[in-house]
Amino acid sequence: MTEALRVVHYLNAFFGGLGGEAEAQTPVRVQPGPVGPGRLLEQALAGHAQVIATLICGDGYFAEHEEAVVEQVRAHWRTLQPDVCIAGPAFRAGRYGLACGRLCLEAERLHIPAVTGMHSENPGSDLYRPEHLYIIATESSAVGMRPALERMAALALKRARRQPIGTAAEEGFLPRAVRRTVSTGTPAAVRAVDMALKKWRGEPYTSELTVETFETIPPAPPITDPSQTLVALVTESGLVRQGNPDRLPSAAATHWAAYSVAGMDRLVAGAWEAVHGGYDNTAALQDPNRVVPLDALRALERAGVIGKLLDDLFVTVGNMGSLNAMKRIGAEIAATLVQRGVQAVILPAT
Amino acid sequence: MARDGGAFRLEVGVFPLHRMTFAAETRYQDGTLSIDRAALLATLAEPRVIADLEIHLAHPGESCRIVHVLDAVAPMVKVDGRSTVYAGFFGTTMPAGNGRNHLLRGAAVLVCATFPDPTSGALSPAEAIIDMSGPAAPYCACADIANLVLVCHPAPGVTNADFDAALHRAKLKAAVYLARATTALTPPTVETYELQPVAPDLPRVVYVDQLHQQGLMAQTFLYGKHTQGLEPTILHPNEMLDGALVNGNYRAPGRAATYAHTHNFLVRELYRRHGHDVNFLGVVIGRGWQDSQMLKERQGWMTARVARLMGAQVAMISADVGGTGGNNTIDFMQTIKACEQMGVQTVAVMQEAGNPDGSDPTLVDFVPEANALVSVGGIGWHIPAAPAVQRVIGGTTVQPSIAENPHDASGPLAVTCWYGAIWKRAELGLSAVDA
Repeated sequence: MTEALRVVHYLNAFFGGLGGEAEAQTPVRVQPGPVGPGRLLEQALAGHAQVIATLICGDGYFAEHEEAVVEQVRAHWRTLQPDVCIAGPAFRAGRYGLACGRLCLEAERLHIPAVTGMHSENPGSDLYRPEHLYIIATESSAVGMRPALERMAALALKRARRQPIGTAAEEGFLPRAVRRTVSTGTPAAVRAVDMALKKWRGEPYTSELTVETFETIPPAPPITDPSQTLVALVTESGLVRQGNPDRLPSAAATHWAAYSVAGMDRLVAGAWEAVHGGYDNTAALQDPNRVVPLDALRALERAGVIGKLLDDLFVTVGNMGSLNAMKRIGAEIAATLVQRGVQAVILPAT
Repeated sequence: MARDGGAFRLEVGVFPLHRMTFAAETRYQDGTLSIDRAALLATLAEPRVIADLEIHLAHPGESCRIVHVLDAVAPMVKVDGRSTVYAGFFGTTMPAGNGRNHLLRGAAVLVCATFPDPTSGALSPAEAIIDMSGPAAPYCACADIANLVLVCHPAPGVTNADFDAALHRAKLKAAVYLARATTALTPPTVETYELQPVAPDLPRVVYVDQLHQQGLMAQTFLYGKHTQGLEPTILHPNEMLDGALVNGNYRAPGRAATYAHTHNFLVRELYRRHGHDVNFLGVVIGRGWQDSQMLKERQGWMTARVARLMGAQVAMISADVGGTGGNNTIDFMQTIKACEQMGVQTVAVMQEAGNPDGSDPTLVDFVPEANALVSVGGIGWHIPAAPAVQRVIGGTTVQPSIAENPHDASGPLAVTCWYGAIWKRAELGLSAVDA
């Protein structure tokens, strides 16, 4: 028989047997072997894995010292060398869920597989499912401890052994923003009419796509004095220098480019091309200023309406862009703008 | 019995086709179509627009790749009835959807070309490729049937618009020419398409089809005219089977072909279940890719009110054969929302976008009313790279992405979206799950 896999379990102070809210300020401590629900967990692991240690921290302490706790937990992992980390389950306890999610994310970053469990309405689920964490769906309270731990143990063993993982429905985890194309063996039209009949009859059916709602982006506060403001032009229009030197694609861009417009009064036709595949580029080629209005901004600059226009134009292609890639591109461009003291951005849409 | 001039009763005489071959005369016998290439060339000739026209054959299992594919058309001919097939492209005989057709089942006419003038952005043909064998073939439209391939080269000085119009004529004429070999023959099987009255308790269902319409090279024709200003309107499903919709959209390679319109999977499935599970009322068509949020919302309401006024209780919705993905997803979601708010329950078929490992959000828009969606899987999904092939039809280089340089068309090829991929994925039964 192969050696049992090594599990490090994380619990909050309540489940770690240190009492309730008063103990929420407990700093990180490590205890050898399983504690509290860890004993049930070890049963569920059925000898294939052993809980070698339990890390315990108060939820309040974690919330107030998150980065420090993460550092300490990482140090414990270095010593304990776990094959897999298991956290919780946190059920619907919000602060506990946030702690479990963060620690699992840190473990994954260190290439230690991690599994936690939460109720779908736990704020930790909202925050960490998009990070692709494995979060077993649980009841809202500890009434559901045993089934939660059984599923968490089963998934943790598969992950520790690097075995193929089933779908969310098969394994019982919450959708983690990863889609896998599969064969159903039944044409889409047949499935669609079957679903329509069930919906019509009021019978239960499962939509094949349940979509996350998009986050709301709050606008930045208004500029107090535009005439003192450094303004930048950032565009997803795919307007690039002739020859497309940065090889921006016509769709699904994963990078961006910057081009100097220093000393230019306007963008000159022929010096620019539009590689964006999602709109008719004819007008943009005839007069690039109609998609990136450098001419208008120079006029505002001369009139003193805006302080100054940044010397560089930032460009990517928005067509069929992946949200994750666009978030990263946006963050990278924003960091550059902030570093250069830009206070306002014009984002001409296509 | 007096003939009803306004009936929509379509008989399709089906001739199975397994093989096409060039010969001295055009003739159908026992699943083989012999083709007189010179006679076909003479039928299609438009030397002032198409300077050179190559005709090739490609069969399943061959080490053959077809590149620069623009459209695929089912070979059929009207042998009796008030219209032609693909009505609107052959004079003003219309409406379609009645009488008798002969169809060569198991065959397609493909048209391949490169346009004479530069194109840009949305109004550009995207590279579309079919491998007739190998690991990619299951994901390519028409790889499992016999194909007559027209490779058209423009005459000097011809505009893109004139060339495109000639390509439509050529592919449709060729489709009729091939099927005409059967006009004097008795079809082995005849399928009859008619919406007979059904039991009153069956749910009344419409199919809502969002057509692709943006401009030249990104458009769909209804009875020979583009659908740019089209307001949502009603089609009898027989009109679709008869070729009232013709594809002129060359954007994403996964797009709908004319073949997919005449074999629309939801139309066929609703027909199959008409009288058993559903009361199929008909089809509502409208265009997607409206120009503004206001027009997209308006499109949703204009579509929903037609469905409601037809008496629909349920709407099956797709964008052609599942081609949602860009800004038409907004029109699509607004259609779902408006239908649901007008008391018409919806089920919609969609593709998913995103990256190959599936870790990106796969839809660009969503409304809470879209609570019954069927997925045909992710278009970024990795399928095996195709090995080199012995024969290439349609060109010598391919450029699957503008970010790549054109490369040798016969070499190994890694493409995520092959020609007609969304249609194939729907028929193969692919979907996607949270994983």
